[in-house]
Amino acid sequence: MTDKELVEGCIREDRKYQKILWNLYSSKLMSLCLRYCKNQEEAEDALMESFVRIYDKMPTFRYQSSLETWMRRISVNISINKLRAQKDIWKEISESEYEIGYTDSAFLQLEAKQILQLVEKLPVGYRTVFNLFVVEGYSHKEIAEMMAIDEGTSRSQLAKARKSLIEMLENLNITR
Amino acid sequence: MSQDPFEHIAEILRNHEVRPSQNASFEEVMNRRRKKRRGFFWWFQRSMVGALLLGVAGGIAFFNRSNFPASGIENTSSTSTVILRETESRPVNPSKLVETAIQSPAASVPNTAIKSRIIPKNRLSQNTKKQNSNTGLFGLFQAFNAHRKQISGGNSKTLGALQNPSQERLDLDYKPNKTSPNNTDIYAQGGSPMSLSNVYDFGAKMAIGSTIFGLNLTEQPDNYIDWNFELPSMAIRNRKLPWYVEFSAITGSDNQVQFDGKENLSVLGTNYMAQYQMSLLREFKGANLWGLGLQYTQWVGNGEWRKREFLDILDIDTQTVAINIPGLPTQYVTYYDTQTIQQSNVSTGQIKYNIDKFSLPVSYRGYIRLLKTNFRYAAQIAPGFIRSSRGAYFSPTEYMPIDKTTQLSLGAKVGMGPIIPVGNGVSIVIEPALMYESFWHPSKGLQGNVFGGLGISMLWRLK
Repeated sequence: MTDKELVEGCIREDRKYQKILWNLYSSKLMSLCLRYCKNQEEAEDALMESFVRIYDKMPTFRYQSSLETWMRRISVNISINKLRAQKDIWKEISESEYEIGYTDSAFLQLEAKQILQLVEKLPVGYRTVFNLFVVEGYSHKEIAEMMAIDEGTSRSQLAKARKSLIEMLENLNITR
Repeated sequence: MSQDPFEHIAEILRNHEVRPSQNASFEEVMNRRRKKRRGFFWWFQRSMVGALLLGVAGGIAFFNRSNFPASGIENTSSTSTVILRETESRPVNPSKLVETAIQSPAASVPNTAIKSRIIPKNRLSQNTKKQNSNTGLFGLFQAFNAHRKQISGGNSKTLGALQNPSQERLDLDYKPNKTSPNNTDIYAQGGSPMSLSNVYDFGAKMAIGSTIFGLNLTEQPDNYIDWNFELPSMAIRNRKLPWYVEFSAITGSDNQVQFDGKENLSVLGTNYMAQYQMSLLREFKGANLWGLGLQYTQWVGNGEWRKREFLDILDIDTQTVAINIPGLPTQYVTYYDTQTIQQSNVSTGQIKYNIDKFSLPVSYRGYIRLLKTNFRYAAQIAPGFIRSSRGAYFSPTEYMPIDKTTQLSLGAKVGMGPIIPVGNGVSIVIEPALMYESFWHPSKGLQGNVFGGLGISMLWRLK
């Protein structure tokens, strides 16, 4: 089944196609939400809100990106909105910039579950910028707009996130 | 594999999947969408359903309220009104009156002017107002009659009404004009009638008002329709046409008002009905549903009756004069001045009845979409029988005992209302309706009422 068929079925409010869309993407989007939200419950709430909006907004999908990318953006926006409702998430933000230049292959030895656990241990601000920049591919400018912060802040958060990850790797004794 | 460790992390994270728990299911997403769509109209419909359910419960409580008199009729008050009407005034031939004077003991007393009372017009007005303060439902409408004047016969003149004449009469002795007995003034005779009384019905002007009792609820089960309400597709798809079970409840009322005043008996009241029905319906081509069911109806009424009776009282005023001619024995001549006094007796009381009936309704249901809302229209006819009855059934101008009457009955209903899907093949219909309930009275023939009401129906589509 192509994305086009799937989209058209959902636009017709055909429950069958809506269910297929859920089966195809709910796990991926759940993983995405988990990286932004503080716990499983909040992540599931964000996931369901995401699908509600996806079904509602499906007629506006213009095929300018892949369906998955479009859906991930919706999920990211919803997760970020939940984050923004929390206070003091940027308390630890500093303007210092890190130049890491770290190319160690230790990361390559990690499995997905371990990486996810490491990322989850990051402070919220670090984690969010890291996810947006590294995983989702947003620019610092976009991140700044989404999070209502300066671009510099976004950069510093990313640098701190990277540094923290390396430190955590060292603690795991899997670095060189 | 990417040499950039963070790119490697990103790649892993992008492809990583976590299966959501059962708390986050597709069905839950759909439920959230439905809730999100619930705007004002949705909440309005739900509020209406809730209000109707409460109304039905209240109606049941009301109808089950007992304290029912054995006969259904109670006499709560009786008032007497005197209306004067001069119908006759005649001179008497003296030669015959002598004989009459001698033969009639009542007239044999010289100069016996029977006490009469004249009632000034201004006082009559006050009396009328007092009468208008009569309690009960009729009292509300007697203001319409406060100024009424009753004309009876060509030369009759009504002065007004005097309530409780023994208390209200004026102690004004009236001396009839003996020289011109034809020019008899109008006056009233209080107390009991002297003689000839002839009871007959008299068309009294009467104003009857209505009271607004209670609410009307009509519940009407109906056929299920798809939430998207694409009725033609139901037939086009050639799918198996389903059966439906419908449960419905409806209540209605009929305020009985009679203003024409041409009848001697008037009954002012309200008829109520509550109806519960279960039907099995089958969908036919074109989303038309037909079905049969079982229906129970409780049909009650309570009100106030008012009956007026008029008595014609012949009032004879006599004057006896003595004619004394020297050389001849004294002669007595008696003049009779007669007039008719009309006395009106008004009785009021309570009346009520209770009818239980069972029917087998033949029902039709159809669908229409208006203003982006799905509506269901319904019609049905329900022959049946009265199982038990108490009290006295009333129409605006008569009442009739119906105790333990077992007779055939006929009911009908037409209605239309929005249909609200609530999921899993269940829909609710809120249905304003007009209903007709009737029964056959052994002596009075067909008796019935038209009710306006509002009902609620739950329609369940069978798998």
